[in-house]
Amino acid sequence: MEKRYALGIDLGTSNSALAWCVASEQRSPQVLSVPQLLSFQATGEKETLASSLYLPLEQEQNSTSARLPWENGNRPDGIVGEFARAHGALLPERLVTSAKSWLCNAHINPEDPLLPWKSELGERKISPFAASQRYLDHLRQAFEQMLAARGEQPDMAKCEVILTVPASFDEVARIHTHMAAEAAGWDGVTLLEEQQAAFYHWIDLCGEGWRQQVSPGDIVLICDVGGGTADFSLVAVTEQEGQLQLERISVGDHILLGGDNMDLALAYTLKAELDNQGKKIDNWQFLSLVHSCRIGKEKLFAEPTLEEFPISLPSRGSSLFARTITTQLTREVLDRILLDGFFPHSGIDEHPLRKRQIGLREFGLDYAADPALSKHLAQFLARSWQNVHSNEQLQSLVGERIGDVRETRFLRPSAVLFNGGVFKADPLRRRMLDILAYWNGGDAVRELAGSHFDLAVAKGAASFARIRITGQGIRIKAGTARSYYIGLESSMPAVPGFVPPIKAVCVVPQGMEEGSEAALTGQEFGLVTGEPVEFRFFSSSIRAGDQVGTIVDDQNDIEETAQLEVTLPPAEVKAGEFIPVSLHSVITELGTLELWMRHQPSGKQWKVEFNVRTQ
Amino acid sequence: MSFVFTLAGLSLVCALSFFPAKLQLTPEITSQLQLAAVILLALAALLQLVGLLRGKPAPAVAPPVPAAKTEPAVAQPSTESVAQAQVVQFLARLQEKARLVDFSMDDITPYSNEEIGAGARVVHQGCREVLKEMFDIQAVHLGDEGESLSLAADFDARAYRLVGKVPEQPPFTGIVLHRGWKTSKVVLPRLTDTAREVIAPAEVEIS
Repeated sequence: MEKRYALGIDLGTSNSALAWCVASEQRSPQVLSVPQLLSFQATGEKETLASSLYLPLEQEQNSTSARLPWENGNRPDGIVGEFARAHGALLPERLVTSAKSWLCNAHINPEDPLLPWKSELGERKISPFAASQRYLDHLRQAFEQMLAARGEQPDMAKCEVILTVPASFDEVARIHTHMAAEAAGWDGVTLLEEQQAAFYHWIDLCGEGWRQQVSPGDIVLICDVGGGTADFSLVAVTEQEGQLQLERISVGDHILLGGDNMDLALAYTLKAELDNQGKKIDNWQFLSLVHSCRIGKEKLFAEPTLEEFPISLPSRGSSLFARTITTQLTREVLDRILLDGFFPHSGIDEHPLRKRQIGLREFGLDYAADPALSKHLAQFLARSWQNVHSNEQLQSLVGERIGDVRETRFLRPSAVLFNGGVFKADPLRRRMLDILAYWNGGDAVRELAGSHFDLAVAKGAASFARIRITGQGIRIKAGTARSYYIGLESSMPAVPGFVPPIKAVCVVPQGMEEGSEAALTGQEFGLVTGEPVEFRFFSSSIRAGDQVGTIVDDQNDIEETAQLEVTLPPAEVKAGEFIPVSLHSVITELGTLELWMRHQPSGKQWKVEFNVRTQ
Repeated sequence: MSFVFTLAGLSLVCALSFFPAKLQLTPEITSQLQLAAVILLALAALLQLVGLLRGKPAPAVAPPVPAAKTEPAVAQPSTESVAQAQVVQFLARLQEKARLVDFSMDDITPYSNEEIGAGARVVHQGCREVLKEMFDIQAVHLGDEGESLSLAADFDARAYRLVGKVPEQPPFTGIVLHRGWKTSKVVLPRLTDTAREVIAPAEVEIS
């Protein structure tokens, strides 16, 4: 069927949004106003849907009179959106947040009901997967309702849907996101990296003018700092037969560090000051302090002449005057905590402190241990060099843009595209540009300006959906962001007290494109029918040079992603029979990875399932 | 009761509009029947309103309500009660974000200007957020206050108010005392019921 609507969905850690356009029309994608509860009694529309799910008390549920248009009078057992976040902050045991970060947590099974984290809600707890499905379902209902209100038939077959995921998401997180979308009623969703979506949005905004703003040889850094996460990507600009080409050459790791951490850091600083003055604030006042810090931060960044932002924290009782505590956010604190804490002038060879080891600290989300974003960026640029260095084709793309300082080799971006609400503040963008220029030997790094920092990802994804429908417009060459490996135990004579090392064999090379297939030849696996067989599964973002079959000897380059499991049903062949199979990997047109075990003589094949996360 | 009136009124309207030929009525009877229909419907509306204004006597302890019977009957609430509930909802928002009701209901006399100032910041920040959320507020007069302004005969009397020694004929020239405010949008939350008693619930912390 002819696709009529181009949709982009940004499923964010703290906020989600949907942008859409009619593919045949020239208009830029517009953001869908999403109906959501504003209180237990009222509904309204907002451009974003807070990715928060509140699980109400039974009494709250019974007295909730507000109904979303598609709820048909049914009582909601969970509330999604802005009100859920605001109200749930007071009852944290009933509030699900950051489901997306849990989806890519390597130590849990995303389909286990474990959210709200550490809550004692028992059976009402839900899985990160189910929470993501809720948000996506809410967006689908809102979209269909909007179409119906316009008098158009909501028909998923007419929609080209692009769902964005962070470039740093590994295959297991991508597959779960994709499955959550299908479970939420979105059919045939294609995945796109958020950082690429931001780039598509910028191209869409510039129109044809974008070709004047970049030139062959440019390396563009996409610097994306959202509410809860930071993500970096590099795109190389080249020329082929007089046409500009874009290729994404490197992606970073998933860093749980963002704008919310900055507001929290300010609030904790002010709280410590108040404590010193003998003024105690309770949990509710702290929440209002965080909120005021966010407003104060925006105000101080927007008005350079302002020296301080006064803050009043009312008590919880009904008297506003008796016990209101006052303090102020000064520019000195703002500069010290935000600029120097999160964006310090650090050298390219200064990398973040190593992640703390699990076991030494409380288990939970894997928050970044070091708040210095500039150090995370420095590490990314060094790892990007490592990645590019391993592959001759990529080396030719980056040309001269390699730096070398005190034996740290790194890629030197020549332009930067900022994304994420944090960068609405001029001083933070300027600081980042300063740092990049300093690493670039003093030469300024160009800012690709004009983007919308908040909604660029959803809009860019919709633009990309339109490109897919019409076939018009430039595409960023990308393929898989990482390379993938399966672990095989080395055959060694048994030595007491010595675990044989794992041999990691590449099954998916980096950059493998949608709709292609690779076979691991020369390695046969013997499977016994009816018995599950498990494999360990690894990935790497810095080994672009590996081809299918390459064996990795440096275990530091790869990280464990999942376990694979395959069971040959005994019905198909004789039970207990030993069958030689070979491994085939497929990147589907929708951008997801599938692994198959194939028995060559019979042509039969069995799908390998991504199993629960490793513990 | 009002339900019966509504049904009777509506069935009369239906009969009159769909089967005028079959009923073979004289114009006089038709008009009387129409009047009857209107009166029945008006009665229904009135009863509804009276019921609402009286309110139900509140028992000291809320009786447990069986869950199965709490689904509200599908009846369109009157415009007036919806409007009232909207206002209470708006007030609730101002209380929640800006503590406006706390601010107004407290006795302000014993506090120092400093204490009141600290409280006023809370009210200011919150009111601003609510206004931004629900309206798009701009000045009517984009220039400065205190400057001279001349209005032609066709000026919008809703957007400009003339005070002082105003002549019969234009031009109306004077000094802008207040720039005025207008809003280009109003986004009120949608309500699904007309409960309008509670502005802010009492809060109980369980630890």
